[in-house]
Amino acid sequence: MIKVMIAKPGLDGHDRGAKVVARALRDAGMEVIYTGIRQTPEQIVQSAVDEDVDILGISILSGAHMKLIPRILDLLKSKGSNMPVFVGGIIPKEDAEKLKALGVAEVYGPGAPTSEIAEQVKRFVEHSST
Amino acid sequence: MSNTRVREDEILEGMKSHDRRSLAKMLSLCEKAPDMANEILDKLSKKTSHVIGITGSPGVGKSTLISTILDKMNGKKIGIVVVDPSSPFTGGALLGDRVRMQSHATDKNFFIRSFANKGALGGLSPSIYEACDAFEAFGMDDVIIETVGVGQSEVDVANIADTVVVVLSPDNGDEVQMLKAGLMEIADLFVINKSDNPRSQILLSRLRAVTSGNKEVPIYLTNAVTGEGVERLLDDLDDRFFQISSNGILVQKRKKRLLHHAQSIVRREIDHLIQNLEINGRNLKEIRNQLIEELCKKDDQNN
Amino acid sequence: MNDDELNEKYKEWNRKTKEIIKKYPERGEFKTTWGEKTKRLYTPLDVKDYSRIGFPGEYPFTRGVQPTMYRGKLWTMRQYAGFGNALESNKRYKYLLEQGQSGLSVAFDLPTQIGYDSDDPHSLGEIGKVGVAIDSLSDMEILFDGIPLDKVSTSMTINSTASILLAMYMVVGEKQGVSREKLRGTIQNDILKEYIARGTYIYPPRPSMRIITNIFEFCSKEMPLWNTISISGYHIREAGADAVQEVAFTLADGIEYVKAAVEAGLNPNTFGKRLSFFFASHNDFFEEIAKFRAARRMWAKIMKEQFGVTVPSAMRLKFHTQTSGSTLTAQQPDNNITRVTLQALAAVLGGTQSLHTNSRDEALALPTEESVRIALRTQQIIAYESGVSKTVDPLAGSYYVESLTDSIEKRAFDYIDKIEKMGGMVKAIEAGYVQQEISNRAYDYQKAIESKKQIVVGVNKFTSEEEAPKSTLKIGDTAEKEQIKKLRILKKTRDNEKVTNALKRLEESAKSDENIMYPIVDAVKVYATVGEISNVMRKVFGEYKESIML
Repeated sequence: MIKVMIAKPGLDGHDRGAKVVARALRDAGMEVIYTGIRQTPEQIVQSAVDEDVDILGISILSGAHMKLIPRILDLLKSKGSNMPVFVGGIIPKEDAEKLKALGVAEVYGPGAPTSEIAEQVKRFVEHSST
Repeated sequence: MSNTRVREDEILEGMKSHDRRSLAKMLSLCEKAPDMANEILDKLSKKTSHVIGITGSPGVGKSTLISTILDKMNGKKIGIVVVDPSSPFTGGALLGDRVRMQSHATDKNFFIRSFANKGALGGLSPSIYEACDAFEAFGMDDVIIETVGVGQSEVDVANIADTVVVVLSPDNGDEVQMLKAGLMEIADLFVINKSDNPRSQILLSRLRAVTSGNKEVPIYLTNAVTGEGVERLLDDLDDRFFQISSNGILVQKRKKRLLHHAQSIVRREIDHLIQNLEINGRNLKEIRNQLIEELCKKDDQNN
Repeated sequence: MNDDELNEKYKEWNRKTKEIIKKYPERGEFKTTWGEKTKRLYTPLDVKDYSRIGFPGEYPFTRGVQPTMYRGKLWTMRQYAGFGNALESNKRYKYLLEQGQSGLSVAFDLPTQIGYDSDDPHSLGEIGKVGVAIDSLSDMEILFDGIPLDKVSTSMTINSTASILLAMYMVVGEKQGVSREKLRGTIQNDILKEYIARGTYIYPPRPSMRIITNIFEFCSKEMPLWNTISISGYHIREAGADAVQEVAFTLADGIEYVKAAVEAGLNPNTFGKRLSFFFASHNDFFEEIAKFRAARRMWAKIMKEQFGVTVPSAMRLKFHTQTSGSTLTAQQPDNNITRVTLQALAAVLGGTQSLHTNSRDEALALPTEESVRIALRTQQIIAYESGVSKTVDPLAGSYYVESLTDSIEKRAFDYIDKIEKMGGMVKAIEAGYVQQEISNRAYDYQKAIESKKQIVVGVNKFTSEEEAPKSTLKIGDTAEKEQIKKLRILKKTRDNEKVTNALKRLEESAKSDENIMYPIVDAVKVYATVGEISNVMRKVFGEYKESIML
């Protein structure tokens, strides 16, 4: 059983994508924790570590991703966690590449099929636990 | 195998030194390998925490009430277990109650953990007893369990909790009539949430009418937005715990909890046996599928 | 041909067609976006009662709110813009005005919208990102520098902090020598849809409704030309609602606001004139046109029948339209120009009063100047080349469009009845009902795309391998640093005693049942910040916690 957290850092309230992905992952048989909007990196990381989730998904559309996502990755590291992280939102290609270089498993743009996300999430989790 | 042994030792040591991450791992073990979890838990000394079950129909504001309770807690260490239902079809679950408590996510004294009930009988998570033990072993002052709020989970929380709080909302007009017989009996106290709603007074008097004559069950009016009434509720919860600790009721409750814990272990073993059962070289799933197929055939012939 | 003859003829035609279909089947089932079956053919039989349609400029306004529509005056071309700091945005506004845009539409960054100053930890990474950062009156003075506020009308997308930004705008106007009663424009000020879909709420619904009624009251006395609310279906639609839900939930929000205003003692016959609406224009061309027409007719009925309004101009649903951001694709982004064109055309054929056309690259990042220009040119081509503005409501009488209009009206009224039975929109939101309905529809739509029941060109069909364009607009970090620096200097150099006193007055006012607009105006004048003012109200009103409905 995969346990996944879908988190929304930053101040934007566009949670359609986050909710759709959360539902799709549930329907793919996962246990999904959705944090709600406007979460600080500290709240997200502490929740993910306390819940001991297998993987963390981050949804952001405000444009603050280059500030917030590296901060989340740093905080996870400082708490000794190596859980995989994936990102969804409107992320320009060059930023997506930078985020992947920092350790983000995948960046999904608008229109990414949820079935594909679910498949890949399974793979990321398998990969990280071996 | 040796690998997990090392991890177990790490968890054991971490639990002893109150390492938060170890508690997180411990709780996962409770879910994924309860036998192993019990083994570790046996080696740990436990504090007798006040285990508070919070129950009531979905939408009455259980999570919001807990969040308000946490707002008013000063320096106490609290473990919070929130249980959500698993889908009977996919096994997946949306664990959404945590959202309302997110403002407390980074508080060092609180530890919030979501559990899926995994279709467990009674609606509480099958590992709820182990999880509760884990929080006690970690030294929590209180352990709060929020139920799914439907079906048996409302009643079964009494098997584990020292105190059962039944939350009602004035928005659900027929709440009092709907109070299931079992729920009336297990309630140690009632909370009417959303006290600013004018209907809460009506609910209060109806509730008084229903409860009078039975055992004396105190009723609290709270407002989760302003926090009104919550402090009194907390004071009385503490008083109650002190009382039941000294008058022997707590001992009875703990015996009952142990009994139900044992039952849950036995049930798990039986489930396990059934799952692995083979009759003439076929497992349960195959037998079930064949049975369904034959029944369907019969249906077809009848039509 | 009378109805019976027509009916006979229609049946006969259907019989013949069914024979043909046996040999040459149709491509599949056809349905509206809300799941109703679409007929093969619409005839006069589907539109029995022409009196429902009426004449433009007259009740029930199905055909438009003015008698001459675009023959008299074209719609206002209004592109939503604002980014970085006030100075950069000021330059963009001047550019847009030079390009022939007729009104300003101000986008604020999220900290400004949620009442956090730029130096607040919550603002990390958000400053100047989705709009301009405004901390104090000083930023607002720069934002409108050199733009004569008596000449332009300004629309501000601002909700939970609308009271503060409106106060700032008014003070800037007065400093320019333009008195408050001459200022024209709109604040969005629609808090209910923030809980439903957009997410920039601060306080719980009830105190928020009180602030809104205070604004209504203030403007009715002080700023009579100002549109005090733009009741918005746009974000509801973008969150996943279908066309029926968009109309239903938006008008249900509208009903809640009018109720609140009436309770506060305002006369709906005058107050009704100051209401405006804001809708999305999506892909399904005829549905969208019908949606606008249905919404207009429904609102007129609501104002007349439910609120007893007798002045026709207070029954008119005037609306702004924005083409749908969520239909834009990151794949093959130039295709978005075509989508935007169709959506814009639907809005014009639906009788919009103003229009924002999205830029092709908005699924990738903030739009570049070139993309914004193409988007504006799209409107200009529709206005000046397509000929659709030559006559009023050209699609009236189309059997299909009229039938869709009726259907949307009926279904949306069903929703509104349901919400009324729940005790109104605030109750329905608190119970999570509206959020749940939208979330269900959003999920269904996503599944439809993934199963290819819904085709999205370039995404699940006609895909091609191509590189995403690199030239997107970036907001640098320097804007953030400068904004924070500026704010710190302001907090040191202003008269802080005056600020403290003004905030104290505001707190007392918030606790009482006074109109809080007046103390907000006073606080703004002495350069109290958006964050400081919001925090005073946070203390008094509390903060809203969302109910998650997945």
